[in-house]
Amino acid sequence: MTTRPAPRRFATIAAAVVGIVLLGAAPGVLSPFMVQFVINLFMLAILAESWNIIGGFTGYASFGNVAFFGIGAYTTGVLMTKVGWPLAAALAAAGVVPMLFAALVGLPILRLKGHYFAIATLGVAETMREVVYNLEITGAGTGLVMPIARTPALFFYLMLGILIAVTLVNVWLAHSRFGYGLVAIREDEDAAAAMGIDTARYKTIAFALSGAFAGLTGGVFAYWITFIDPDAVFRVIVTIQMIIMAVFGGAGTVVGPLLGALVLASVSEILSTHLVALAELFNGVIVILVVLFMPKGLLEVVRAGRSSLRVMARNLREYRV
Amino acid sequence: MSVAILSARGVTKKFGGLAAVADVTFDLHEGEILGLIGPNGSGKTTLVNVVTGALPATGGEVRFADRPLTGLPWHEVGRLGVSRTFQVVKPFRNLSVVENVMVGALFGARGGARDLRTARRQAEEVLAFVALDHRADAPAEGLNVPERKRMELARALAMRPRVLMLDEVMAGLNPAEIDAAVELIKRIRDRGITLLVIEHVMKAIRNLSDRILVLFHGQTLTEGAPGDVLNDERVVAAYLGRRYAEAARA
Amino acid sequence: MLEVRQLSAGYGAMQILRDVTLSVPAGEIVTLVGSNGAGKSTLLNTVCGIIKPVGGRVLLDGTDITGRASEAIVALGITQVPEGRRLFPTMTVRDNLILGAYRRRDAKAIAHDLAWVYELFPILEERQRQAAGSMSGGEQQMCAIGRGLMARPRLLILDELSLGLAPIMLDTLVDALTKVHHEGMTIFLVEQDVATAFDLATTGYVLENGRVVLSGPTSELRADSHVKKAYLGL
Repeated sequence: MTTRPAPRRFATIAAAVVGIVLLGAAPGVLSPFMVQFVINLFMLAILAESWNIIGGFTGYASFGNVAFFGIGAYTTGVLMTKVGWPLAAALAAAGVVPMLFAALVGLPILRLKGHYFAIATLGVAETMREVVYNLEITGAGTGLVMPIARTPALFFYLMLGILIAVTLVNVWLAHSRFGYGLVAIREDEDAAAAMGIDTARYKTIAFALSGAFAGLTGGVFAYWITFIDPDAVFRVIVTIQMIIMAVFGGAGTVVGPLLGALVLASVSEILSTHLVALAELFNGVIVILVVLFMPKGLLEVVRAGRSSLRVMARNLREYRV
Repeated sequence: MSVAILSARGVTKKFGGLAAVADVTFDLHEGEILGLIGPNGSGKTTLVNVVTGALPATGGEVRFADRPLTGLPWHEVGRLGVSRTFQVVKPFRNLSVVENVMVGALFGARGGARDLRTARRQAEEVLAFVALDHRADAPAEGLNVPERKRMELARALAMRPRVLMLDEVMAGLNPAEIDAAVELIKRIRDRGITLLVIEHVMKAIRNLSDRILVLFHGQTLTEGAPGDVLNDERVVAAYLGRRYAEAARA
Repeated sequence: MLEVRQLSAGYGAMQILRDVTLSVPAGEIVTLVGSNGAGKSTLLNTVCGIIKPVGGRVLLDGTDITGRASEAIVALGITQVPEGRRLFPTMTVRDNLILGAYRRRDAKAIAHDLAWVYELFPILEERQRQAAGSMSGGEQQMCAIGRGLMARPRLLILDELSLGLAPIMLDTLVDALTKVHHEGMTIFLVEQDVATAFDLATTGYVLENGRVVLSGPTSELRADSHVKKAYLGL
């Protein structure tokens, strides 16, 4: 949450711009397989970064963000197939509908703390799957078949655009009064309220923002894989992945979740092609490593540079294994 | 005759059937330091919690600068200009000291500063005032007991309050630190802030208070000038105890 | 009973205690006073096995217990009432007290001791079904001491007994501890409130910057000019 000196800031912005330009050229250069992998990577990165808003900055570990993803997917799906909306409008709705849903559901749920909040959000996600499963308009169990898109590059740029947007939101949080309020809530909610922070309003906004981006991603996802059913878009493993990636990289930082998504998605991909048996263990092993050596995430260790081993040793000792 | 900046009338707080605070009435006059003492469990912290909106009152009313305070949400009270410290300090552990104080500057009275740079400047001023500026960039976790208390105080001051309620800020300080804290509190008063101070350190209460309010079992036992209150036999019996009385006579 | 000989200890690179020697004879109340940062907690942590010293020894009744694990040291009969009470806040007062006797198996004696604690602190009996965390600071302190006593320790160590307590509460505690002492308990009191500490203890040690700078009967220490100025605020 520190304000970094100007020269370093300029370098960071310059690097980011260069990176985006390079990425922009990617679809023309990479193989179709790689393009698919990168689209998937973008998606995971967006989910991790959007989870970071409510989970990392605000400290409310939501275990149900896939609900927003799924609602976004189905919003786009229903609007395009049943109502005939064009893609742009359907995607916009995929952002707005889950955002409103999050705000509404947040009213009771954000009053819960810690484990109870986690369980309640998990319940919401599971419920949404069942609801969608039982509704005619969403195609019930049979799912929805989406119109086929002509250009694979479209999804690449859509996901990249959303990724940039959600990252910018994180950057804003790290340097704004609102962001400070969220962090204060995370650190000590009572003290935050005593200091004048409208905690209920702030939490709801954070939750809604988190939901909006997850939903937007779901909308693009639906159009990308052209067929959705409840089991495809309301998968608990997606929630778990986004949390692990955010925490592994560094929850509450801007770059951490991105880093986490990049590293974990890449390693996971390599493992599932070459060492399938290990791929299953992978998530579990990562969780253990994070808890023991890097509870604040990979970013903290990376930033320590030469002292990273010492930082990890200290983390291990504090956990008193 | 001083203006009452904050008045409490018949404030009651019940938990289940038990009244932690029962029918407490007092006025806080602008510019004064009111000492609040009483045995452990007499309702002092609960009274502060109710007055500052941390807990809803079961009965009674509190007014601040002629507006009702009871019934307002917790964060509104801070924004109106009533701040408090917590008995068990609540630092934002993962932030630095100056960032902790910035939260006070950002969200305090009248909504606080809008941009981070102003907030940081205000925070640095407050840290200099409490003599903690040399630790501005230190992580809040790394502070020792007296420093943590001063940071808690700085955070509340950064809110630019008109009324500041201190809950046992002297607990755990040695005599030299207590003297320094007393001086600091006097300087806060000199800045125009009205103070309510809960303390068990009698030396501090004697030195600071213009008036003292004594609570016992949630009710007002007595109220008045320190000289009168601390010699009142009911107060000695209920609160000060035999060893204090002996030491005072010695 | 407890002997500390030339103990040096610290945390990592930071050395806090230097060559500390003190002794707590059986059946006495001994106090160690000093300011924040003087090293009192470090000393207790070392004695109770939480940190390992870099030099010196800790002996209990002549047996070397330096560096042993905390559970072992508790099993030998040392019980510490920690600073800040550390009660189990959601459990009842009664449960907290009974948990103090965790290592004991003699049910009848435990029940007898519970009655004894209630006699020392009647308010605890009144609040026995209340959640410990909902009590005020002083009541919690009584509960913490009661919990310590329930272990029937040979040596009771009290860390910052007086923290946040009303003067009259201190009277109650001083009376209770004096009673407990008369029944034969050995007490080691680590304190910042020097006045209270000297009221209770017969022998005192003054710790400054990790070293013992003064020691002797508390009656004499009380009159020492340095002590008066630095610790009694006189």
